[in-house]
Amino acid sequence: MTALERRCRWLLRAYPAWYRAERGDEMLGTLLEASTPNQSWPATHDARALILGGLRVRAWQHERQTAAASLRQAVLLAAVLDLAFWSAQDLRMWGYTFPPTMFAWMNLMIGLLTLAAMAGAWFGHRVVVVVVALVAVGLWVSQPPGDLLYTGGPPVLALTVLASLAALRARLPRAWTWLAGVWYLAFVLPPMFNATRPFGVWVAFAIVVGAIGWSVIDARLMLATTLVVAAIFGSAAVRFYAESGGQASAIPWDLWPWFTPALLGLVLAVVAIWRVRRQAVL
Amino acid sequence: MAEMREPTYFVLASLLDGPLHGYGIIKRAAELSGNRVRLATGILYTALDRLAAEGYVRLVREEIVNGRARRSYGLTDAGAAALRAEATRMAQAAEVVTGNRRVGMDAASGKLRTA
Repeated sequence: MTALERRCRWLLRAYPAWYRAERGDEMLGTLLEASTPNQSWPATHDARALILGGLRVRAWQHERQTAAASLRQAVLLAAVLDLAFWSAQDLRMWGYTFPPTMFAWMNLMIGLLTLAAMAGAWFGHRVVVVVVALVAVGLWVSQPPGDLLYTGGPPVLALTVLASLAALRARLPRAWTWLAGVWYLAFVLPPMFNATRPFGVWVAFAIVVGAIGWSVIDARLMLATTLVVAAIFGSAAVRFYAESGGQASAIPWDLWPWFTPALLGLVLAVVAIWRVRRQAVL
Repeated sequence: MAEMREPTYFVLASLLDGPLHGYGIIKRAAELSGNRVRLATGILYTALDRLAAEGYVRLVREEIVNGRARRSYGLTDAGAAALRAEATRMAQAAEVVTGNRRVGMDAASGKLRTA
């Protein structure tokens, strides 16, 4: 085995084992045929393409999906991540009072139904997902008007989006399950351990930064995470503004901690939409 | 028909004269593009995966050369039609600038015609 072949084989490890078993030999043959007689290292553009190509196969991006289908999946993931944030709050509320009040039981029910709808985005039958999501919407809407205005709006919107996309047969890839899990735990675990620092926010921030980097391979995660950032911070800004009595002059100074991430999230989401559409080109 | 990237266009164009294996496609695409498109092996196989999934190329032959699998790929009718459609789209776009030829697709044969 030559040094070039050994190095090419090493680079081919970027591809998953099942793909190498199917195509590895053929790709190695092509790499060696394309090489010059005394070449001992793969060309830079070949090395780069093998690493990116391998990661694309691992992200299941080697098979083309239309831009519309990719955008639907990204928005569905955004709805699920948004709901992870809100359902975590609902489930936490149940644990705050003992014995649980009627209000706490209601929160528990909403939280569990939301979790079921979220899981359904990956594994559920679409009719079941739509029904569960709509029942959860019904429970949210049945809450007192004040609660609905201040905390119910975003989850009701996210559940409606989830139900609509599930009805259109959108489904999330199983490879993304861990993302919702980490996101969910980031907002559930820290308060349980009385964490004073906003640990969950930092985890979410790390996921968003990672998703932006990963957009070279798959821009759907970037779109989903930036939409969630825009939704969570945007709704917080609107709530804060409403609570301040609608003083317009307060916006530039008091609301920048909410508006800035919301605006940044929206701008990055537009970039992500462009990238998703580019990646869908054959 | 979906818009195509340039490498994809030249992968399909390289198969117009008959089936080719991986390195053959790389060489032919470079020739056809005047050495502008230098397909890396990773890019070539990503393109072939997508084109095969779309039904634009198919596996024609598989042989063992120097102890390794070598597969040859050919253009399908759908692939040829997509290639012609992309050529027409680019010709029409070029006509906006050059403006001295009328280019279109013949409805009956599906082939590129110029007048």
